Amino acid sequence: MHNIQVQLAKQPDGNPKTSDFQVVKTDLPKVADGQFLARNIYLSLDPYMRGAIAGRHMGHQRLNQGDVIYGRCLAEVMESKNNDYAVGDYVVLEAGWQQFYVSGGEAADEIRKVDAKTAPLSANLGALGMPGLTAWAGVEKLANPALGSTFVVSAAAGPVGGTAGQIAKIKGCRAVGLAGSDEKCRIVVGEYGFDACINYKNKTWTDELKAACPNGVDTYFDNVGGPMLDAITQQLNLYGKIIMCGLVSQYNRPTDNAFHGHNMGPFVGKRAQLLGLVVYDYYARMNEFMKAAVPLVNAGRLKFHEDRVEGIDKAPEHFVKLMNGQNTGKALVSIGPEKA
Amino acid sequence: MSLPNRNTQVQLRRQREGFPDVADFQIADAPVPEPVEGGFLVRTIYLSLDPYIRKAIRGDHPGHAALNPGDVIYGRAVCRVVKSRSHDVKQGDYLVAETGWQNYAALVPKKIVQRIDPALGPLSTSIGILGMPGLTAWGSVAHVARPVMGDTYVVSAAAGPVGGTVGQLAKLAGARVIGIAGGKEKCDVALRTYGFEACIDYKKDGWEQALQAACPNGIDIYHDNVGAPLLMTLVKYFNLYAKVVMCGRPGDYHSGEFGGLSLGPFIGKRAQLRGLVVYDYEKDLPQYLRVASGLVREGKLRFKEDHADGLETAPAHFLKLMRGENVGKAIVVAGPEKG
Repeated sequence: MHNIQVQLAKQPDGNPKTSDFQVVKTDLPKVADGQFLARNIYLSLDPYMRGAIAGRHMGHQRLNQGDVIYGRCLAEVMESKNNDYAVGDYVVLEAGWQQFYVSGGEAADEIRKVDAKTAPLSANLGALGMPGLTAWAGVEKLANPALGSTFVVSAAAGPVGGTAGQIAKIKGCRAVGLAGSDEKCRIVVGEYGFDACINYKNKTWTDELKAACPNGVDTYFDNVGGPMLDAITQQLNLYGKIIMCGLVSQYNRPTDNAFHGHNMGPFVGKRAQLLGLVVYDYYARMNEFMKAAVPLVNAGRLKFHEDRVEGIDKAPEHFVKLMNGQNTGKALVSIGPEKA
Repeated sequence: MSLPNRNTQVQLRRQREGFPDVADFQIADAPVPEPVEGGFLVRTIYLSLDPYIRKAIRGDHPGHAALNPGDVIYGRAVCRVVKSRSHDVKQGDYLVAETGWQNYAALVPKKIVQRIDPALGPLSTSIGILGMPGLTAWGSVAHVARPVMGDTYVVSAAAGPVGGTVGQLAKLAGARVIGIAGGKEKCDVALRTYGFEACIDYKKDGWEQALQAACPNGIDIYHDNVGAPLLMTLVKYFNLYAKVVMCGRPGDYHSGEFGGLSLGPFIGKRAQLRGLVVYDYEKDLPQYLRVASGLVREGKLRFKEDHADGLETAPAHFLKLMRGENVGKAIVVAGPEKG
């Protein structure tokens, strides 16, 4: 049996290209004592990977040529010499962009068992996975927006933004999304049920935002950073909160020096609160989140939208699409069938 | 008392981009104005120089329209009422008011910033530690940052009236206070007058290492008086969930093109940044004055002033402040306290 891996061919310069990756056939390693073999079913593609590849993301070493690309997968245990994992178990783990992965069950693999009966398996990489936990932590634990307040979120069609806005809506906020195409906005309003969504590629988007937020912006859940944050800060109410979650607009920058610099003056004038969010701090509260979120997913109150491709060899082009903002919803690669 | 008939004013000579220059100002003589019905006339005693004035002149500060050539420069001062047509104030009252840079100003009651009780402390402290700068520090420490015992608390512009008071209040609240200031003289004030644990001279080579050594447990709270470039260095030494109080930013006042804040490191540190505007705490002034005047009398809260004599010295003294060369609260002594 063989394994197909996607490895780094060379460090991307700016926006990643498919030629930065190489698809390689390798031998499947043997399972030693204490290890298990995971068959990857779904690979999650996320913007943070761009920084991880370059060594700019916490907890990730810069990759060298020939290294397997970082990535979280939903997998099935095929063979096990580890007492904690049995054949047939479904797990989410750091398995990389490949068909098979042998894990020793170490903490670094960040393994979480998944109950296949509670919700669709792939949701464990999206609304019921890290993106969902991120959204929940930002809305419930950091921002805690008040009933009737206006909640704005960028990258609103994506799994973090989409879930954040839906949670805010459930909490009685007016939810307004920002997304990069009319198609994405249709999902944000039509599927996720936001009150409004603005296509920020329209020249008049700031006016449209103002019209969609007649009482100003109380909370901005920022997934993109850059000049958009400066524009939204202008519409922030006094004491408004900004959840600093992601900087998608900055991830493709070639060097650290090219990062957008924000003038602090408007933050001071608005008495803004800028709160940094790192989902790792909330891992220990995954069960608390799931207790709240699973019933919402099953009741159809928390929706998600997936953008899938078939085959591990398609991962590079799907990732390039994601980093260019051309995906719609949660970007996933289907590597194999749910049942072997 | 007979009033003189000349009123020395410092006016704007020209509106210009970039760092201010003495040639942007002009000294002029105007007649002493007459107060309107319901207004009053004050004589300026201590004129307060503050970084925000740079922005106010350009119309870039809340509540201040851009000045035109010939307009008197914005400013607050400790002043004394010499003639009153108002029921709110009487002759002989001491006030902090929006006088502008001039010897005499005809005002209306809404230009009063603060009424002074001369028994609370030296008159000049009403534009320093017992005035808005002190209240700013109170807002920062008591309302926004709320340090806990043992926190490492870093303050920039540490020799100034806001930074110096922030550090002393934080110390009274049990924090370990490290100042950052430009030059040995300022650091001496932070150490000897204010009693900070350490003060780092950012103009000296190796200052970053010195800061690191002074903060062996990392930084828990940072009161920012100076803006992004220093903040981008300090974030490296933040503990997770460190708090930043974003206060005055002299670095912003004369350049729109400096690096700015890049958010990545702040996300990594889960930093909590909050903007502070002192106007929000004006209603707390009486409470603050009660607490702070006692501390000042007991010598537990100390202050340092940098005086220049005569209104005509105001432009040069202001530029000294903008260049960061003042040591302590920048004040122009425009006239005597008595009389």
